[in-house]
Order: sequence, then C-alpha cells, then structure tokens
Amino acid sequence: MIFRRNSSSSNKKSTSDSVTENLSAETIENLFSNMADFNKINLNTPGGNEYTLHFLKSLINVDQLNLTVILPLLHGNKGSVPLSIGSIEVTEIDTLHKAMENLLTGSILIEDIVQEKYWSIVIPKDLSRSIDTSQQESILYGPNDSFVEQIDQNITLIRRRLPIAQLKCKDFTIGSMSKTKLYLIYIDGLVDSEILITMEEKIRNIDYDVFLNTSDITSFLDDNKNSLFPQYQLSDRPDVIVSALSSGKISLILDGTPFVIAAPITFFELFQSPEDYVHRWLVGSFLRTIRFIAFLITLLLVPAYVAITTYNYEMLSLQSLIIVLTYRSDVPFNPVIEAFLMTLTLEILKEGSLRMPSKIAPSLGVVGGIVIGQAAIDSGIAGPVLVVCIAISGLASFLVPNYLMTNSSKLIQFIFIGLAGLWGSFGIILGLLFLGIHLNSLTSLDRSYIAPLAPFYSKDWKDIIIRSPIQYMKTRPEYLHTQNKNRTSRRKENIK
Amino acid sequence: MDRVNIINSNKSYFSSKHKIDSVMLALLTNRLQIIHFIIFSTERLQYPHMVWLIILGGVISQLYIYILSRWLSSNMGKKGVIGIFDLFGNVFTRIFLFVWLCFMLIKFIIASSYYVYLLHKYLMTQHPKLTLVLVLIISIVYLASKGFANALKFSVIAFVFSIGILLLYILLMFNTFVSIQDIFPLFGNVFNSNFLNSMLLIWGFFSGPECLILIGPYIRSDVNIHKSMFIGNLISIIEYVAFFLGTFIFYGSDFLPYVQHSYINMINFLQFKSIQRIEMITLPVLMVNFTLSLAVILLSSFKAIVYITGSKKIPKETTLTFFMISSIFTFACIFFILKLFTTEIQALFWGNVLLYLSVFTYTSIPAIIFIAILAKSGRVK
Repeated sequence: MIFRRNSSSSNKKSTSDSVTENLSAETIENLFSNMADFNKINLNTPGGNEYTLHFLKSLINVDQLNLTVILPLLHGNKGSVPLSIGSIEVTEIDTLHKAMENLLTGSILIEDIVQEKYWSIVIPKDLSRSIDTSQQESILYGPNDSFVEQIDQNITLIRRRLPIAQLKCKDFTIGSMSKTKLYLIYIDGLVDSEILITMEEKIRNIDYDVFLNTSDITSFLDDNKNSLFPQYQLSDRPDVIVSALSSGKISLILDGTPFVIAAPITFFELFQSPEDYVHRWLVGSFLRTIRFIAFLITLLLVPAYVAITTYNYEMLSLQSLIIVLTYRSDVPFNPVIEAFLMTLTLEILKEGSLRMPSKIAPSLGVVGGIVIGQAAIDSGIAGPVLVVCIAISGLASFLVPNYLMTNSSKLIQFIFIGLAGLWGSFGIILGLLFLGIHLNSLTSLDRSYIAPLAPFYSKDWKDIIIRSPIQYMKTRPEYLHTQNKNRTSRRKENIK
Repeated sequence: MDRVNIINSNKSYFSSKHKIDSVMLALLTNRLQIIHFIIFSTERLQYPHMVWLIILGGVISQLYIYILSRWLSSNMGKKGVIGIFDLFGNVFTRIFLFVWLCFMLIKFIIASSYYVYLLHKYLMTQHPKLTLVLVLIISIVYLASKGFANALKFSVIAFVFSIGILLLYILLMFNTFVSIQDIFPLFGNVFNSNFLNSMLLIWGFFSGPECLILIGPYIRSDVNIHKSMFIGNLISIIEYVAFFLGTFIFYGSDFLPYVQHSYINMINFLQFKSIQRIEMITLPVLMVNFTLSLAVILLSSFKAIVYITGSKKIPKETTLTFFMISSIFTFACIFFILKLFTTEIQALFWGNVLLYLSVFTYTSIPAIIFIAILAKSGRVK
C-alpha cells in the first residue's frame, strides 16, 4: 500500500528487501553505497561518548548541522543525545526502514556507539524560492503573493490569513517512489464531514509511484475521468484558497508544486475571478456576465458560421448573406474544412506562443494573427468573415479565468464544428443537448456540478452570474452543506 | 457516487442516492406535459372562448395531480415498484405493470416518431429519417444511461433550454399585424358540437405525469410533493393559456383553423434584421423536452420490465446488455412506425392515437391507484 498517514508509518511494509535487515552502521553504508552525497562523521566527545553522524549532504542544512547538532554534541556532557541537543526535536530510530526514510527526507542519523542507539534529527535544506507574483492568475488590485514549491511555506501563507485553531491540516504521503507529502486542509466545524470522508477515501485509494504535479492527483480524485471539464479548482493564489476554505471547501497541498487544489467546485465557479470582488459589484457582475457570453461565443460562433454557410442560409438576412457568400465564393474548401483549418492554425499559434521564450512569443502573435490571417484571406484559403469569427472566438476563450476550462472549450468547439458541418443548426443544438446531459450528471466530490441550478439553491445565486455586494452574501454556498451556514458574527453558531 | 457509466454496467441505473428537489419535481411535471402540447397544438380548438376549457382541464388535472402526489407521498409510493407490489399484490402488480409498460412504450414510440416527423418536415428535409431517429434515440439512451436520478434532474436543464422559446413568442406579439381584437369574444357557448373533441384534446395536453408513478424513491423526503406538482401543472396551464390566446392574436380566428402545428409555425414569422427563420433553432431545441420525457419513460419501462421478469424481493440485475437490447428494440419499433408516417393523413392518425392513449393513461392510471388505495385502506380497517 502506497498511501499512509505519517503517524503510522512504522507499521508499513518496506519498499525493498534490504530494509528488512537489522539497523546497523554497516547496513546503512551498504544501502547508501555509490551515493556521492552520502556523508559520515565520527565524533569523539571529551565526555567519552562516541557518535557517528550519517546524512545526505544534498538534503540537509549543513550550517544548522554544525551549530545545532555537532557543537552541542561536542560540548555536551549529559550522557544521551536528546539531553545534549536540547533545542531541536530528537527521535529515536529502531528500524532500518525508518532510518532510511528519515535520511532520504532531510534528516541526519546519529549513531550512539556507546549506548548502541540511533537518533534522528530533521534539518532539511531550505530550497524554497522567494514568494513571487502569480503568473497564471494575475490581478490588478489585490494581494500579489502566490504559493511556492515548499509545502510548509504554503501552509504559512494560508495560516497567516486564517489564524484560527479550527484550520486543520492532515498529512499524507503518496507515491511509492516519490514519497510526496500531501496536506488536506479544512476548517473544522465548518466543512461537511461527508466531503471530508469522501476525499480521505479517495486519497487512500491513490496507488501510483510518482507524483510531481497537482494534476497527477486530480486524475485520481476525479468523479468522472473521461469528462472534459475540470472537477477541481487549481490555484496558486493564497487568497483564492483561503476564500474556498472559508466557504466550507477543502484544499489539498502537494509538496513540490505551487498549485493548490480546492474542492468541490461547480461549473459556474470556473467563471469567477478574485478581481470580481475588487470591483464595484455592478462592474464585477458585468465582467462575469461577459465571461459567460464569451464562453458561449467560444463554443458557438465558428460552428454557427459553418451551419449557416452549409445548411441554414435562410437564417441570414439577404444583405448579410450576400456579404458572406461573396467572400466565400473564392474559397476552394467547404466551410467545415475551412473552419477546421483556421481553428487548428490558431491552436498551433497558441501552443507555439506558450512553448516559446517569453521574449519571442509576442512576435509570434503578430506574425500569426496579422500576417498568416491576411495571407490566408489573400490566397483564398479562408474567407474574411471566418477569420473574424475565429479571431473573436479565440479572444473570447481567454476570458474564462480557468485555463483548464479554456482548453476544454476549444476541444468542444471542434466537436461542435463537426456537428454543424453534419447537421447545421440541429447539429449545434444536439451538441448543446449532449453537453447539458453531461454537465447534468457530472459531480465534483459527489456534489452536483451544476449547482445551484440543479439542485436549485436560491441563496447561492447571489454570487453566480450577479456578484452581489459582500454585505448581502451572509450565507455560505448551500450546495456545500456546511455545518455553519452563516458568515456574519452576529449569528450564534458562527466560528469564534 | 452513484453516477451510472454506460461502460461500467455493474453500477445500477436506479440508485437513489441523489434525490430530486421541489424545483426539479415541478419542472419535471411541466416538461412531461409540454411534449403533448407541441404535438397536438391548439389550432383544433377553433374559438377563443375555449380558453375556459383549458383552464377547466387544468383544474381537473390538478385533481389528478393531487392523487398522484398523494401516492408519491405515501409510504408505498416512496418505495417505487415495491410499493406497487404492496398495493396490488404479486399477481395484479405484474398485470398492472405489464399494461402500464405497454401503453408507455407505445406512447414513447409514437411521440418519438412524431417528433422525427416534425423535424424532417420543417427542418431536415434532406436528411433520411433513419438518421434522425438514431440521433434522437442516442440522446435518449445517453441521458437514460446516466441513471434515473440524473434523468429526473435533467428537467431543470430542459426548462432552461426551452424557456427562451417562450420569450420569442412574446416578441411575436409586438408585430404590427397582430390584433388583440382577435381574442374576442372571450365568452361563448363552450358546449358546442366540438366540446367532446376539444375536451379530449385539452386533457391530452395535461397528460404526462402518469409516468411518474415509480419515481417515489428519487424524491427528497423534505419535498412537498403536492405543492411542487401543483406548481408544475400551474406553469403548464399558464403556458397553454398564453400560447392559445397568442395564436388567436397572431393568426386571428378566421385563419387559425387552416394552420397546422401552430406552435412550430408561428415562430416562422419572427424576423430580425440580422437573423431569420428562428424555427431552425427552436425546433431542435424542443428536442430537450422529448429527450427528457422519453428517457424517463424508457427508464420507468426498463424498471417495470426488470420487476415483471424478476421477483419482488430480488429483481434481476440491471445490466448494460439488457438496457441496450431494450433501446435497440424501441429504436426498431420507432423506425417501423416511421414507415407508416409518410403522409399528412397518417401523421394525423398517429397523432390521434397518441392523443387517445394519453387521455386514457392520464385518466386511468391515477384512478386505478386511487381506487386501489381506497380498497386497501378499507381492507385494513
């Protein structure tokens, strides 16, 4: 079994046969042979004690080792290691498996030769980068800090914003090889216990060797693995995660990645941005409405062009039809191929600009957008009306704050283009029907993905399309079934 | 999670872990009724004062809704098919379920065929009917494969999809040639020679909720079933009255009798500067109502088959194979019926068959349940 709570790690099976051997200096040296960063220091103290320190130099803080371990041991005259090193926590080690695990996670192993005991002290090397501005979810007004790769630093960022004892943090280790730390964070007395149990069960069922990214876990946690829609929110902004926690959601922080998971989510929450709450509520609501419209434009504008130019000519007024057909008359392809080609070109440009060095990417945008677009029209590969439609839908796709959703919507657009080419307007409606059925059955952590529409929660509509003034949002989202529904401190049951 | 995956046939299609709330139940009642309205339309009612008959039909329908809601609220009703076994006993339940199943399947087949006929006639003339049947069946099976609870929940999406059409009808009323005078006289003798036919037609409009007799286990315990179904029926009454009067205002009573499928045809006249022929959007959108209603009927029938062929206590395991065979069978039936759906007269005939079936099922099923409950309570006393 790969998953385990850290507290019970001693009961777990070892990962290799060698660790079943007895704990001794020789076995440790055998295990860590051919590892250039493995070090051993022998200490003979004036008090007559003899110690051997084992550690991986690449994983521990050498300065701290000198100051807080070696110096006290040399000057200590109290007999045992814990008494000599008073300032840091010292744990006794009795199995080889435990010793190996500690050494590989930034601890030093002290062998007390006289007393024949082994002790472990955690002094990991600090590898964290400085807290930077979020690159993925940047906003104009609002906090600028973002999560980093160090799990403990991320916890600090959350705890600073939520200095309450109810903020709980359960730790897990996942990945049989990567031994990645995973924290499950929630506010006790607020979160629905059902959500918590479901998530813990899902984490326990994770069975894989290496976890390097947050998306690696989400694929294990998804209720529907074949869905195009993200079922968890990923964010590198502490304010977004704190807001989710205070709403009654749970959060997962994985060591080594700055992206934190918030769950459960709904389809409508994917259109929300932290900036909505910075603006005046009317402006925030307006921006949110534009995002929903932009999502529909992304899905439907190009397929509508295909449907109209393929089957449903009658839907356009004569004046508009003449414009479309005049420009299309020189194009040798049928509208479906034309739309596929141009949409694909846009996707290639987008992918290209993502992978290129940041200084070249804007140039690629200019080359792609203006030069290729104009050249495509001049050479008769595509009509100008389609190029305009594709440009608008391409821009519209970026209005959705969730990047995973942006990419999903592009794939759905391709499907809709195909359906529009097959059956015109009927094909598009059919696509929407299937999308509706899919969203209707989708869940995130067993909660309806289309809440508060179905099930209908009237109070939650204050923060879906319209972003009401914060004073009016006195209750937490009903679909989360939180233990404490009210956000205002006047209510008796509120968290103190 | 009780989501049903069509690939994983081990999961039950009938898990009741996620239940429906009052809004879903109200909209479900409304959407099930609306498909009959789309098929039958109102032009056969001839006079504006027939609006009172619609209201009367709605009021009587509320009574039937009351009986159905009492059944669904009862301890037996909450158990679904098991409750039917408790009510009728082992033998009578099988007979009742079998007859109910036959009627529901015939209704399912004719309603599907009729929608395909409408789609082919007004929008997809160049496409073979077979393709359209296949597409409709796939959408129904896809929804049904998500499980009963999700199919019932889809009522909200169906409502949201199709409510926009109502707004388009309101826009039609602002046309220059529309005359409010055409809805007069609003009072007249409703008991004319056409009374019986009109009443049957109106009663047909309100049918649909009778296929909900098995959904008891899927309703949340805190839902006021009667209130929800009452509101659903009330929405239907308002929609029907508004649309009926709308057709008179739009076409006028002289021209209306010559119009066929006024519900679909009316929207033809709505034109904007940039976009025209709006029915090319609205007609496919109506498919959501058909998909919802037919998926509910399909799942109910499927459940009935499982219990008819299995025992009361241990029903046969619901498998993907069984589900797919049922779906292919219904697809074959629809295709066969469509062969007999080529002329206007044939369409009218099948429309009438559906109307009489709907009238019969909506009248008899709640009545039988009501009588059975009375008889059972009498026996208990």
